[in-house]
Amino acid sequence: MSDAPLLEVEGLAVTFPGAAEDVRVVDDVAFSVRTDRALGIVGESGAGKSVLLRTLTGLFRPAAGTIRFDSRDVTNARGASLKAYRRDVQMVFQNPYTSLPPGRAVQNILEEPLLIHGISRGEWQGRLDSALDGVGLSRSFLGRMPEQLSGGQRQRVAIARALVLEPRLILLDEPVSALDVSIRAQVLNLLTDLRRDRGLGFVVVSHDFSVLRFLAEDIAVMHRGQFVEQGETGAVFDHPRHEYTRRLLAAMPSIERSLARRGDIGEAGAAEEKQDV
Amino acid sequence: MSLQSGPMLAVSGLTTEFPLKGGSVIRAVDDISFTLAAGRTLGIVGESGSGKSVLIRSLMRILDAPGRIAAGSVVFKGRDLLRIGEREMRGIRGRQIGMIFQNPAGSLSPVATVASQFAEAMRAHERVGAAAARDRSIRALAAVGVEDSAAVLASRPYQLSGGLIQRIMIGLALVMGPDLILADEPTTNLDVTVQEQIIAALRKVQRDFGTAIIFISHDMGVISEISDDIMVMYGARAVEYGDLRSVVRTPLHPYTDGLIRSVPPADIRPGMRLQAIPGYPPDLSRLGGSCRFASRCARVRPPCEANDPALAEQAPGRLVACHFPLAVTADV
Ligand SMILES: Nc1ncnc2c1ncn2[C@@H]1O[C@H](COP(=O)(O)OP(=O)(O)OP(=O)(O)O)[C@@H](O)[C@H]1O
Ligand SMILES: Nc1ncnc2c1ncn2[C@@H]1O[C@H](COP(=O)(O)OP(=O)(O)OP(=O)(O)O)[C@@H](O)[C@H]1O
Ligand SMILES: [Mg+2]
Ligand SMILES: [Mg+2]
Repeated sequence: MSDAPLLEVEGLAVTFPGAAEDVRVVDDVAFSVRTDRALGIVGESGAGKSVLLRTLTGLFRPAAGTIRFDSRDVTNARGASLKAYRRDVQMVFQNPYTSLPPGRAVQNILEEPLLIHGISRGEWQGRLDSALDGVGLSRSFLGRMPEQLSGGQRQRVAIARALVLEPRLILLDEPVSALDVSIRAQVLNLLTDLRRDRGLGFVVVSHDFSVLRFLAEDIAVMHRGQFVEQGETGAVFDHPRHEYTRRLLAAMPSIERSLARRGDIGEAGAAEEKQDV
Repeated sequence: MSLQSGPMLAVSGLTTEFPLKGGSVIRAVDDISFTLAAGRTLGIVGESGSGKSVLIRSLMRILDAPGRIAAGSVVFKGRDLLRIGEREMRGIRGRQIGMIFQNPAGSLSPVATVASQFAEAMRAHERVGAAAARDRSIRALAAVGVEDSAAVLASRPYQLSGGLIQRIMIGLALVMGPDLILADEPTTNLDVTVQEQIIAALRKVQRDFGTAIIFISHDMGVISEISDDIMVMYGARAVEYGDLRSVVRTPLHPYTDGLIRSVPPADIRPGMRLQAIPGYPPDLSRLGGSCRFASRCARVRPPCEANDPALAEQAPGRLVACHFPLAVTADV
């Protein structure tokens, strides 16, 4: 494995025009991703996680900072070099309801990137089959349209679409939150296999700590546009240093915790317990 | 479930179908029955694509074309919602039954101000002056943990993060003080501190007003936090029903068991293997007569291939649709 990171980000800032002045939604963010060190990002709702990922794919232009992919500066890439970068870097968007175009068959949605990037037709079927297999959808779904699919089925189509181009880096925004825990486990295992077999890099955003623990060696905790804590996953989750990280960990819902709470104080007591609203 | 008051909602034999091109039919909800009393929460978990969203959309009669309810009854406070006119139904929707959709962004207008969307939700049902509308909007937003409600009311959804939009959706569902709330993955994609706030808000509303809640989620932790009873769906059917503790501690259906075992352990790390149920869910347009879970079930035996088991009481309060359910053992 080469020493240079697959993705290297320094001093990244993204702003949006606000009423009075520009709003800094991503503020001085720096990290690197290697094929053997995936990055997980956790943080408050509205922290800027999705905007950060979109900026990495070239959907937003940064106000400051640099993005290097495979040692090339792609911060302001255009034309052919942007197209090449976009083939290597695929994103799975957070909301499966808006990320797939309505009114088009799944087959068409999966073939579109192959067409855009000039993949020879002889390869299409094989690529579709392996992507569908990976996410557990049978070929009977190829003729269906997104509006005929459940949320989890749509999300699997979205993941399959990111896989057909055989990218080198995948940016995953809440990739499995729409899936039931068993299919979730299958997709997470699949992502791990892909990583091992193809040497893929990952950046994964999730509110689910187990997803992050499983997929990412490194973690960044994002709060109001900034990475407030960053480090090796076990270290950050087991010994959080920032106050916000501690708050997140304390709020994590769990079966055991809620059964214990009910068990200790009884069903009636549970209803009377203090509410923090 | 309280016997004195009778259930607020009694669903019986509900069946919903989508005819597809070429003559085949997807039966997305197949013969589902359950009851829900005031002040209680039914959590629904299950396979992705098993009919959870279609089920609650059927209760509200808001199916996408060409979906149709093929059979059943939905008795809400004594009236069968499947037998009343659309006009009467409109008076119930949003007012007596509040709904929080799976796709938050898609159910709000992206460009209208939040304040105007609150006002519209109230004016669909009653006359409200501007000051009263604003006041009630602020209270509904406060209930879901939105502090700077003035700024939020003035903003438009396209400017807001997913987390804030979801809280607005819940505020909108609460603003009319409904007796029943149908919540389809209301906490998915929210940070855990906001999830906690929303669950607390729903519990508080429930305690103060005796609201009944149906809550769909894939997150077993969240489901455990909110539910009194849970229903597990697989392949358009309810395959297990019971009180939360019994079902998560001693699942009776092999699918429920597999689902609970698929929850990752706390010490999960890269390189480990997650446990999952082998195989994939059935295609609802191509069902045979066998148990829908048979092809993935470790306990499968000949009767499972011969017919699809019905949901039946296995122990007091514990229902399961399985020819060979796991044993009911002492609670741990
Ligand atoms: N196109 C846009 N124009 C203006 N502001 C935007 C735009 N997109 C996002 N924002 C703002 O940027 C901030 C960060 O949003 P973002 O969607 O990145 O949050 P997030 O961390 O992904 O949150 P969540 O966990 O809720 O998905 C929010 O305050 C949002 O309102
Ligand atoms: N408009 C439609 N036309 C045809 N089939 C549909 C339509 N809407 C839903 N379905 C099918 O009905 C079944 C149930 O869908 P539903 O959305 O209720 O699943 P779900 O249990 O909510 O899944 P998820 O957990 O993924 O949201 C799915 O197999 C889906 O493909
Ligand atoms: Mg986001
Ligand atoms: Mg759904």
